[in-house]
Amino acid sequence: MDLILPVLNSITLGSLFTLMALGLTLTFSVTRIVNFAHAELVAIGGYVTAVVTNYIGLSIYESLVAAFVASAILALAMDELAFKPLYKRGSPTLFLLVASIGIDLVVRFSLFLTADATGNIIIQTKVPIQPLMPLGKTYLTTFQVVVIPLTLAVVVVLHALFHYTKVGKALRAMADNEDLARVSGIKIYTLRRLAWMLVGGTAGLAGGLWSIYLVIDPDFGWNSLLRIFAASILGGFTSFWGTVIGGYIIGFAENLGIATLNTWFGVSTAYAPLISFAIIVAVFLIKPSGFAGIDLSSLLAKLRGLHKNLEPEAEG
Amino acid sequence: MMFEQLYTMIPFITTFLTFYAVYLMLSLSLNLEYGYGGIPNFGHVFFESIGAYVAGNLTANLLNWIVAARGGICAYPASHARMMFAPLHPIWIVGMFVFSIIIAALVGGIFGYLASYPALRLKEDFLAITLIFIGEIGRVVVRNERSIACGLVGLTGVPNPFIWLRDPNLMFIAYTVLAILFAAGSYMIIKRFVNSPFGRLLKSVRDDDLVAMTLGKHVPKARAWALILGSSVAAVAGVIKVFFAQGVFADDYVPLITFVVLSMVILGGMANNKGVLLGALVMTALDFMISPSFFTVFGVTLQLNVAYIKYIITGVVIIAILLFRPQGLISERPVETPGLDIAKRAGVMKPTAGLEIPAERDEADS
Amino acid sequence: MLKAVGLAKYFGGIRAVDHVDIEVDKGEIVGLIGPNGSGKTTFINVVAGVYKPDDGKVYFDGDDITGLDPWDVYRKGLVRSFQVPRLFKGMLVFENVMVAHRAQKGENPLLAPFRGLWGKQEEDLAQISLGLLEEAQLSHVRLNWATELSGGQMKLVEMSRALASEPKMLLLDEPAAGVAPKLARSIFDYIVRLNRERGITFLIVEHRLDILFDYVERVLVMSNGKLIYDGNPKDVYEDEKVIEAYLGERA
Repeated sequence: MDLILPVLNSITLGSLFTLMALGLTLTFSVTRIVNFAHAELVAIGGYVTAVVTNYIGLSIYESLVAAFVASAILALAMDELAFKPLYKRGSPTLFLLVASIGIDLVVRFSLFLTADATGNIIIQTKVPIQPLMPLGKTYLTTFQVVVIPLTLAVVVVLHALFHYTKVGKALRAMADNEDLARVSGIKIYTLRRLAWMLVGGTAGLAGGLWSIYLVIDPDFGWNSLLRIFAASILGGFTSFWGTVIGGYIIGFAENLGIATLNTWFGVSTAYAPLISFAIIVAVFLIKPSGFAGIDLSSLLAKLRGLHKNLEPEAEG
Repeated sequence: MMFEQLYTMIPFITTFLTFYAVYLMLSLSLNLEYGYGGIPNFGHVFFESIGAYVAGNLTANLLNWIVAARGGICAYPASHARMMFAPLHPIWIVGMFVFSIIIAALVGGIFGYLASYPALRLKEDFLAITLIFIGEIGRVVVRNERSIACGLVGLTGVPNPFIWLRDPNLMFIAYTVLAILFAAGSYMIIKRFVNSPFGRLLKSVRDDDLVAMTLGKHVPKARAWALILGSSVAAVAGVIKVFFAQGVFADDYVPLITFVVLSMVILGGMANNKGVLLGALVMTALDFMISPSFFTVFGVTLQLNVAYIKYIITGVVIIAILLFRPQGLISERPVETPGLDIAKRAGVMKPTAGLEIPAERDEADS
Repeated sequence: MLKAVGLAKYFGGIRAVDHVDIEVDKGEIVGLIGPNGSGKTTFINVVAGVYKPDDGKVYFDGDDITGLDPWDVYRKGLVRSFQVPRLFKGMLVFENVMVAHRAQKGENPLLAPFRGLWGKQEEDLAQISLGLLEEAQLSHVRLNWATELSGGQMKLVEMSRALASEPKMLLLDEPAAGVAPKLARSIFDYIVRLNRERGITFLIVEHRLDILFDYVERVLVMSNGKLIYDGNPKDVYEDEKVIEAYLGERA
């Protein structure tokens, strides 16, 4: 079979999943919240992009900026209205997860209500995707040329932000130990706001891009959530680069993977979500830290059979 | 006039009460798992669906065999033949109902036991993620696997056990009474389970599993039992729903159902069964009042799709309760046992020997 | 009574407990001290079955209990308490004590619905619990929620709860931490009394040496996961290794 098309599709979807999952990873690493409402940040991004492009007539780039801003505001509102008050009260993490389910219901069905009332239950951003250059039997399109570098750019920017700026270092300090960050004079609530805006923004951007690629409905965020979680969990829920690897693994698994299973074993492509689910369960049970937990040097040492010679460090 | 109006409302009232009964069983069993046992089984709908598929599949296959219908359980003629056969053979159809309940309770319990495998190994929020998605995955499989419940189309022709009463109103009333009996039975059974040293054990595991372990509690066993009992009741609730709807549809079993049930538990009060009675009543009433059919009863036709509003309110209830009244409408009560009665009756005993406690003992000095 | 032979527990590269040999005889009250991070709590956790040891053996009352699950260690009669009081927050004080009793028939889910099968036992256990609470001067708060107590009272409930399990030996992790000095002494008086009247053996981790040394005849000192002293509390201040360990912490 011709591999170029499924590979290209896998990479495209992998990029989108990565972009969607980065925010979830960021949320968990900074706030320890398992946020099911993340799906709606993606969904709102998709709808804002589609509506701004189709009805207001702005360019796609302006629409994507609008999606970024809208989802960032929504993310901020989620935190200010629900998560932060609960967190301040010392609610258990499971309460925050339950609250995120509540938020998800409110946003998702508000979106349904509005979309239904205005006749937009199904919508797609009207931007023609044009072929750029032939690639085997298929074409590389304008969409892919934008999405793939854009995803990588976002990852690089986030990585740089977290590793080379003062703000990012403070965020990481907060992720590691909030109490310590607090006493060392870091303004944790300002940082928290910034983190939520980045979370919302990237999710909104991802949703916007998705709405160009495929038709969306108000459930599309929720329906993507399994993949988003799988990608993020592959990254140990805390690692950006792990999430990137995770995103592309899911992209490939749900395209090339299920297509292969379909061709060779007759497995229905409708079972694609099972792959993501199996990945989640496997990571949880076998290696909850995902890719983030794999220490490359010790892995290499193990491969070379040297681990027996490695003395445990004598520490105090 | 009054009587006639009441008569026309029979379908509405019986549906409401049956749904309340089903939701009650679901929320009581979730409360057992989550409220008492601290296990976030947010894949509760999956265990309900197990019962539904067992009941639908079993009944359809057995009746098909009896009527010698061709074309499998999904074929329309077979479905029709089952619905024709049932009114003439009350013993068979009532027997099928009872059989379904027993098997569903067993199979539900087995799946609950299987779910205890991740439940013992995962951190609670990771467990919640896994279980929520189990709910979704179960649906994906059944939608695509025709042999379970006829895939997308759904399985029809699962006759109501009172179909031989002929009059639909009578049938619905009889079935509603039966559903309420099941819900009341579940309430009584769960109440007995939790108001015992076993209930105390569950709460101790919920509050601090490490301490519970060091106090000799076999924590994995306790969690497994909570899941077995909870899933079993949830599966029975699934059976009740199937025989009422006289069919099974995979798309009825979405994670959204779990969330609605969760809102009932949180609203009523975790680890409080009376609270859950109230929580389930409020949310079921909401469910019914915000539905097009309710408004048509009063001769109003709505332009909006009100189903959405129902879920928005469910979400708002969850958030509001967590924020403003985390203990729910009725807060947690102690476990009622004969021991507690003794503790209540005993007066404040006079200090005898023992610790000489200084007057200002409440000051901590760290 | 309790015997640890070459017991070791590592976390990554850190040797939290490094081949420790400890023996506690029946009827003794032994103190276990050491600077922060010296491995005392880890030692208790390994003995009580919370962590599995990486090396070594633990014997209790003649049985090998190495690597047993915590509930099985409990069954043998070895029970521990926690440094920060860890009461069951959703339960009454009375229930907190009740839960610890051993071999409760009603904890079996198959018997739980049938009150007749466990009601009598439950009533007897309630009487014992009330007695314990009275001894600890907690009768008046027995129907309060565990969260409504003061720090000192929580410590006492922990003691009563541990006693409800009829232990042969108690591992107490800082029984006097965070309580007023007077109450701390009362707690230790109580410990001595329990030791004398019920024959319970004690191994007590404690930071407040001034109080501890008035009540124990033998003290063990741990530092960096190793046992560095085993003997009379009076001579402990003279021991060079101990001085070094404690000074090292301050430096």
